[in-house]
Amino acid sequence: MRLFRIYLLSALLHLKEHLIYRASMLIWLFSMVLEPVVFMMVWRAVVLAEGGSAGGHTEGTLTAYYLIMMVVNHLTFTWIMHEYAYRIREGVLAGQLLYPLHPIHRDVTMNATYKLLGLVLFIPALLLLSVFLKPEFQFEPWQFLAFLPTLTLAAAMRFLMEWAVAQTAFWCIENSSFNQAYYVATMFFSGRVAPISMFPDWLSAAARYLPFWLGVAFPVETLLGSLTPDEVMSGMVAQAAWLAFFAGFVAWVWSRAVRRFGAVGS
Amino acid sequence: MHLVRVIGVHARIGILKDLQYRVNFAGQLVNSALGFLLAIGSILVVFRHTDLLGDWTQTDLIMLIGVFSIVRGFINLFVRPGLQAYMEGIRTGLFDYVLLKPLDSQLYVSIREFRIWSLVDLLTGVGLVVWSGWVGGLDASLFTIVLFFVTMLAGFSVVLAFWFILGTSAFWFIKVDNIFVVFDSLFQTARWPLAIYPGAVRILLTFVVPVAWAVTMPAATLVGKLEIGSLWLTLLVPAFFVAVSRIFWKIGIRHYSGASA
Repeated sequence: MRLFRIYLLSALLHLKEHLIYRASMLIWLFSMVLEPVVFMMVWRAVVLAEGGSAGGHTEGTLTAYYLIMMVVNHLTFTWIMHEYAYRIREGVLAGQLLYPLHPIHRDVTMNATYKLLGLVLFIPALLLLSVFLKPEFQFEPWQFLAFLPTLTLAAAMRFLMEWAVAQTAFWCIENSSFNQAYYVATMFFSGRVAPISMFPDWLSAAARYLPFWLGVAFPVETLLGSLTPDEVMSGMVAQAAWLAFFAGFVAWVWSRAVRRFGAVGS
Repeated sequence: MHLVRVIGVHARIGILKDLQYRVNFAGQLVNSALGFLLAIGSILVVFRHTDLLGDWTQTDLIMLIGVFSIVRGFINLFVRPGLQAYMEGIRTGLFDYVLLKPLDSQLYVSIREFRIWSLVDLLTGVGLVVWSGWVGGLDASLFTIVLFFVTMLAGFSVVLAFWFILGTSAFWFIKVDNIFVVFDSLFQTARWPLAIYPGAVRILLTFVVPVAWAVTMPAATLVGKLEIGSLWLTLLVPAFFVAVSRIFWKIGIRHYSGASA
C-alpha cells in the first residue's frame, strides 16, 4: 500500500518533469519513429526487387511488422544505461541513495510515465503511417489476448536487463563501449535490423531464446500471428525465465555495486 | 596561408589534448569495430534475400558504408565537438571570447576543437572504400577520382552547413543539445542508398535534409551510378545550404546578447 502511494506520487512527479522537457522528448521520439521506418524502407526495397515477396514477407506484412515494432520498441526500451555513468560521476546517485527506497523504483515510474506520454505521439504516427504505407494486418482475437501479457513480460524483462547492463558503470565509469556492444547485439537479435526469420535458420532458432528478441519482436510477431499458439506459450515461458534470472541478477549485482560506490559529488 | 596556420595550431592543440587520454583510443577502436560489425551484418542479412537493393550490389553498399564512415569521422573529428563547445559557450557566456577573436566566428567555431581519435572512423571508411573499389573492379580513371573528391567536398559542405543550421538555433533557445539527436537520427537514413526511398522521401532527403544525399553522391560516383545529368546539384545543393547557414549565423550573432558580464 505504501509502495503503491509512492509509485503514484513519483509517477505524477515524473509526468510533470517530462512535460517540462517537451521539445527534447519530441526530438527523441522522432528518432525512435525514424529508425524502424528506415529499415522498413530497406526491406520494402528488397521485396520490390524480388518481385513482391522475400523470405515469406510481402510489402504489406513487412510494413505491419515495422509499424507494430515501432510502438512495441517504444514501450519496452529504456535509456538507463546511457545515463548511469553520468549519475555516478555527477553525484546524482549519491543523492538517490539517501532515500529509504531502492533507486530502481524511481526508474520504473520515470520510464512508465515517459512511455505513457510517448503514446501521444506514437499512436498518431502509427495511424498516419498506416494510411500512407498500407500495412497488411490480420488479427485473430487470441493474438490480441496473447499480445498484452507478452508485451508486459517483455517490458519488465527488458527493463531489468538494461538496468543490469547499466550497473557496469560502477566498475568502469567509461562504459560507452559496453553500451555500444549491447546496442549492436540488441539491434541484430531483437529483430530491428530484420525480422529474425530473415536470418539463416540456425541463427534465427538461437535468437528465439535470447532476451533481445523476447523483449521486442516476440510481442510484435505474436500480435501479427506469425507464431503458432505453442510458440507463443514457449516464448512466454522463456520470457518468465529470463525475467526471474535478471531479477536475481540485478539484486545480486546491486548489492556488490553499492559496496563499490565511493560517493562522488555533494 | 594565415588560415592554414590557424587551423594547424588548433589541430595541434587538439591532438596534444587527446593524447593525454590514450585509453579513449581503445574505446574508439572498440566502438568503431562494433559499428562496422552492425553495418556489415545488416548488409549481409539484406543480401541473403536479394542481389540488388535499389540497383546497388553488395559491394556497392560496402562502398556506401565506407563513405558514410568517412563523413561520420569528419563530423566527429571537429564539427560535433566544435559546435558542442559553441553551444556550451552560448549558455555560459564564453561565446563572448569567440566574438573577440580576429577571425570569422563561424569559421572559428568549426575549427576550434579537434578529436583525433575520430580518425579511426575516417580511416576505416577509407579502408572500406579502397577494399570495395578493389573487389568491385572500380574504374579508377582520373575523371572518376576528381569527381569523387568534388562530390565528397560537396557532401562535407552540406553536412557542415546542416550542423550549423541546427546549432545556430542555440542563439534563441540556449539549451538545444538534443538538436544533435535530430542529426544523428536523420543521418541513419544515409546508411542506405537514396534509391531505396520512395520518390517523395528521396526529394526530402536531397533538398530538405540532404544528409543521405551527401553520402550517396560520392559513393555513387565510385560505383558508376552518378547520373551526369544531376551533377549540377553537386554545386547547387551545397551552395544553397552554405548560404542559408551563413545568413542564419549572421542573424543569430546579432541576436546574441551575452550571458556573462
